[in-house]
Amino acid sequence: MTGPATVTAEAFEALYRRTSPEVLGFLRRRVGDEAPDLLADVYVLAWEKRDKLPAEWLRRAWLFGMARRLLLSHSRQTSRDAAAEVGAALLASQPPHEPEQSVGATVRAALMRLAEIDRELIQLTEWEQLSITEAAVATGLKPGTARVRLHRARTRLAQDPELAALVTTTAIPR
Amino acid sequence: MKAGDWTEAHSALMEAAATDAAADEVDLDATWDQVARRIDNAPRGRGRRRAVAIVAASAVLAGGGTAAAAATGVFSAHTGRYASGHDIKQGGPGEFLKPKGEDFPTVVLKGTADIPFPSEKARSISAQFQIDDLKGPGVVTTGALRGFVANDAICSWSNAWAAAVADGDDAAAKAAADELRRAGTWPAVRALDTELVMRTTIVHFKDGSPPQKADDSSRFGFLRLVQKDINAGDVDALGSALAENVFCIPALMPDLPQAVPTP
Repeated sequence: MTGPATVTAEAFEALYRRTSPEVLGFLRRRVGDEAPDLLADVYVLAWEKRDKLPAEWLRRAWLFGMARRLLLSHSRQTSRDAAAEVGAALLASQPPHEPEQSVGATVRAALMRLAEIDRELIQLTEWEQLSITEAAVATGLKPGTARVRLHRARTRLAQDPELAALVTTTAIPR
Repeated sequence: MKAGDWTEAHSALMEAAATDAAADEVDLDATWDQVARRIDNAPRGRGRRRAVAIVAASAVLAGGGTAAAAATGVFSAHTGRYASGHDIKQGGPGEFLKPKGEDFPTVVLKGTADIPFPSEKARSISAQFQIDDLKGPGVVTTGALRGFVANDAICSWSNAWAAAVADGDDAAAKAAADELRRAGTWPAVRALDTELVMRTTIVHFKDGSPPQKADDSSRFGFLRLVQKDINAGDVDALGSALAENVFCIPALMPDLPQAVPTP
């Protein structure tokens, strides 16, 4: 277990190099061009809390959690409705020339119909490839609770009429 | 497959909907310089070559735990590293396991063999679900894994109890009820929860939002409800209690479908 005394500047830079591409991807999918600035905030905060860094295997999830909280806080600066703000950023992140009723637009619209925490669990596991345990750490839920919520969120999303129509009509190349 | 089941097709749609967010090395280097300027002592401006060297060194260090497995030609799920202190609260106790390890299915079966199931079929359904559900990057502790399987076992015994009640098989119903009453003493449960309580707490926010009531039950606190409902002989209440508090694998619950969470 890495304790505070061993988190040197070099070790911290190694942590940054190892995890920042994924954390930047997470932020970019939500706030677009503002992502690099928020990424810097995430790692400055992480450095300040370096005596509380969790075990190596949980650090990626911990950083995602920190990024998520910063994102919500960032949204609150311009709106009291943080979830709507993050959601708006999510919708706005679609490519500019994408047709309105494309697969991406339909899926993102269906995601927006979920509760914020449920949407986040799906995105963290499907887009960011976090395990359920990691997604629980990132969202501050107990692993068991996260699993129940994720299952319900997936069921709810799969029952979304527009998404269900896509599943029966769209062949997605893997 | 029934409507509402999550399938590979849904995952593929999610993948197609993910906007491209590939990291640019220039962005990452520039952001690191920004971080380095804002914190003390951090090296900066050394460019990508050094970063690559650090990542390579980290990979060598991180690979130490699997060196023995590599020598035998098997990428093992075992890491030889154990959770301690704060990490136990966050991710469970025990050894960190890598679900990507080739021997993960065997590790799951061996590591959960002491958890009682009403049938080998139910045990097999649980093991296969956990193997599939945990696959991918990341790690899971043996404690968390055993907790997931203990959940499955509690669901299975609840289903067995409901089936026995429906069949009027008093002996089978008593056997299942006795096992559910003992569930709080299973080592896999005790390792994660010695309280077994249902409770709520009031959460206060620093930004002035009104306080909210939140569930703060212990990990297996729902066993209190399970035991109350089997003592009352109330099958529907048992189904509702499980649906509210646990994820029961649908294939384990043919005789108690009320226990499967619904949207």
